[in-house]
Amino acid sequence: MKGIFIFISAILLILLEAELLASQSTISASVTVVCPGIISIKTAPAYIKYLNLSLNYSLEEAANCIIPNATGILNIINKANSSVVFSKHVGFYNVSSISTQRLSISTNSLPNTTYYASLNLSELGYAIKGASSEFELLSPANVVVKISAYPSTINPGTPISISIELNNTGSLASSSIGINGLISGPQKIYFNYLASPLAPHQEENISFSFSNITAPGSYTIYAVASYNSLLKSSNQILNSSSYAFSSFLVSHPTPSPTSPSPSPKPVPVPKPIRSIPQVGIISAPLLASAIAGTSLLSQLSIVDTSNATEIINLSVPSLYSSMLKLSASSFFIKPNESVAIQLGFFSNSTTQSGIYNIPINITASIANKSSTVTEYVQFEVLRSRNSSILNQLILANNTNVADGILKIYNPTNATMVNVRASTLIPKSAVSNISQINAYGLINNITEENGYYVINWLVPYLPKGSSTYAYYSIYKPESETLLSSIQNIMEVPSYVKPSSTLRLININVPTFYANTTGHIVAEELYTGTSIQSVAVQLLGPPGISIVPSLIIENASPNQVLVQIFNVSMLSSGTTMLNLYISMQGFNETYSIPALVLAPTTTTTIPQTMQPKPSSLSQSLESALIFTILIILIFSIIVANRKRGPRYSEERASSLKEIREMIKRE
Amino acid sequence: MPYIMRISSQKGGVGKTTVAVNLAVSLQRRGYRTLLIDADTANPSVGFHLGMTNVNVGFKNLVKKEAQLKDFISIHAPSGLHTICGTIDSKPFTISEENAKTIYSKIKNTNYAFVIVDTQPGFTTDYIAKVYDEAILITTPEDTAVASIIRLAHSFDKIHLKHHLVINKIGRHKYELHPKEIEEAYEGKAIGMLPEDEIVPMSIAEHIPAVMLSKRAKFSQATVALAETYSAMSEYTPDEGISKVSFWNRLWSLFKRR
Ligand SMILES: Nc1ncnc2c1ncn2[C@@H]1O[C@H](COP(=O)(O)OP(=O)(O)OP(=O)(O)O)[C@@H](O)[C@H]1O
Ligand SMILES: [Mg+2]
Repeated sequence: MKGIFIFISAILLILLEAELLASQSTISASVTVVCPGIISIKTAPAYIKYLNLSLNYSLEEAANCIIPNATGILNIINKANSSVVFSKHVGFYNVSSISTQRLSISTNSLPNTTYYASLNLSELGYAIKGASSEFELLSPANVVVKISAYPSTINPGTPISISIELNNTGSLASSSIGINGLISGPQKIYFNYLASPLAPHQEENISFSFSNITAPGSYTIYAVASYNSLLKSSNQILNSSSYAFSSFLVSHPTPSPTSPSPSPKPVPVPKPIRSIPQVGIISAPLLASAIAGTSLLSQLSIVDTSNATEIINLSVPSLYSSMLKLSASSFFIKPNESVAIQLGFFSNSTTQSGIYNIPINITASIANKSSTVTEYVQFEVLRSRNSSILNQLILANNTNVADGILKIYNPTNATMVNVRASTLIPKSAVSNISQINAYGLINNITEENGYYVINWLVPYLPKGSSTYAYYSIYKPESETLLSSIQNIMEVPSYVKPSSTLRLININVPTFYANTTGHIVAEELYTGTSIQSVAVQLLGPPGISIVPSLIIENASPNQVLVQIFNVSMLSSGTTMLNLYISMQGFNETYSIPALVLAPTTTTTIPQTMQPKPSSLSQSLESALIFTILIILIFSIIVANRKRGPRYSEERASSLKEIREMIKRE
Repeated sequence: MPYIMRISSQKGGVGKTTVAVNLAVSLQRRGYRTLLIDADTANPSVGFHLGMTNVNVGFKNLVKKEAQLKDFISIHAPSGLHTICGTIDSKPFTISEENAKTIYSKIKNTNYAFVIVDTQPGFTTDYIAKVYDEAILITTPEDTAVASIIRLAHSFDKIHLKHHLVINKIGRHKYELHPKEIEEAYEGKAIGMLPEDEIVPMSIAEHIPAVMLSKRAKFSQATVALAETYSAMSEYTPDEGISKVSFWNRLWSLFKRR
């Protein structure tokens, strides 16, 4: 019985071992086998250019095993020429069911055409079958806007028709197109329109007519179209907009023959509304300095900050009336409209030098309410050798070079823009203009009235900061004359911070009837990207402005300068309109330009004394305009003093001291 | 490698700063890239001489290892001279041996032809004195000043630091020491003899170095002659176009690895 039990156990043991051995051999055989996988890649049939292209790709294990490591390359290939436009190494690890990855790339640099994405992987050197997927890149809807007004000149209250042309030049249809329009000028009219969607290459014309434009002057019509491109298959949407503008004139009504003389037009006083008259100052001169006997121009810009049209009256106390002349003294402005008034500063050779604080009273009235603000402008009259300016120049050793440093400092707590300074070097001090080298600031060198003038420009000087300019004069002709170099700071103005684009200067010369002059407009752009800016100057009929429209690209912190050639007809004050527009920005300035009949002379009352101005003192002490230019010649005076005699005694006592020191 | 000189005297007010500034400006204007360091930690005054009192980083920050050497350099625009000014604040400070060594190695790795260090009067600890290639001893023709120079010369001899003698404020007064008497006491020739000259106080008041204020003044001529002596000893060749190159390019080139 016992023997049978042992026998059975022995058989069982043998069977068990055989089983174990058999199972071990199966395990070792499976290790060398590649686990099969399936690759798939999924793209949308099309994508919108400028938006990102996203696609998914995956590896799926196909035989209930684990793929330890599969690597390869994902390519995006232009189908037309088989060029690889994008390529990436990809890898999958320990895939036991399905593993998906995602790729998202920019399409900005890819042409609009057909592409395919292909993925090839290999596992332990054995290729897994690859996969690819085709897609197309489409350009979004691009609606080009054109606008025109007909006729280009109308009589007040007669109809003007405006036609807007839309054309989709993209390869996708647009959504419905929202049009926001503005007729901007002495009167402002807003209009809206919703145009139906445009298929690729489809055009549409829209016409409007307005007959309620009665205020004479020049107008600009702007139209901005907003729409989007939608691609359902890729679930993409792209918003776009485009704009255009055009202009027309509303002529002045001809005076009725019965009126005895052309009297000033009655100012259209708005209906009594409870509005508080208010004006804001956009920019004003900080300090205008000129040498006695010369004149200079600056500007004051104001804006109607109330909600009604205001009558503005400007006046300068009679004491100063010959020293400061304004291009306009009475006019009206609409809410949010701005006016730039030219200020002409005059002095003659007998004007007492110093700083004059000249008040300008600005009175705004609506109906019978009025309010007055007084803005002071500082006018500095300089003598040719002004004590507030330290005239110094460094005459370099050996080299015969005189070096000058100029420091321009802004002691105020407002940002100064467009600071101009000039260094006047007597011509006879320098052998020729090429011997002057100016650097450190934007400058140019001109010749004027016996001087070489270095004109310096600081476009932008933040509060409390300073900047330096340098110049060298090589081989000065006369060292003595160098000491009469003069430095003048011209009208820097301060600007209230507002938008990224602002008018910082408009230079209107004093015009004479039937002559031509240049109006120079300058804007400061402080945005962060390059933007296109359109500036247009328009005047009443009969005045020619060439060019009238200037479009340029503004880079960050750039000062844009436009020069308009203007021919004036008759004397008096002529209203010009300056339109500045950029995406998201539209501003209109009315510019009263003074047109004189014959040459006028100015006399300054001799009794006037410069008043000590606190600003002038702070300017001087802070050396707003520090000029460190020194000319010093030392006269070598023969030294007639008798020198010391050599003394044996003193020499030996010193030697003794030496020995004492050394002994320690 | 730059040639590093310290301007020393044991007595105050003998003209160390005046000589340091004018020598540095003269060398720079001769075309040798020069760095002037105001290491007078108690009463820095290079800034006054150069009209650079508004510089607010300087030697102190350098000692405290607050940044790299080039961050403390200010440029005297009229001459192109590079300077590390002293910062004008109330507390004097001291330099440890470790500080001295790191500053020295930073300076040695630049390509200035000359580095001129203006110091405060008095004795210097040996480890600081050792970083220099030479010391210029400044004396005036008075026995008190001369005695102090001899003491300094003796201490520099002990640590094998080369030195040269400059006699300043030679006024040709009867009561003054004769230069020969000073040279005999020093046991060596003076490398420079600078006259007493009104241009010096004038130049300090104007904040323009005397050599730039008037090239014809006696003091300026004597200082330029001293600069000539040093340029003759330099291994560098003067850079002709130095005053034509922009400051920034020049500054940049000094730190570029060669
Ligand atoms: N050659 C000179 N002629 C006339 N005056 C001079 C001359 N050299 C120096 N001085 C005057 O001596 C005074 C001291 O000069 P400076 O400051 O250069 O000396 P210092 O040795 O650097 O002084 P400190 O020890 O205080 O640093 C100054 O007022 C200066 O005007
Ligand atoms: Mg000193």
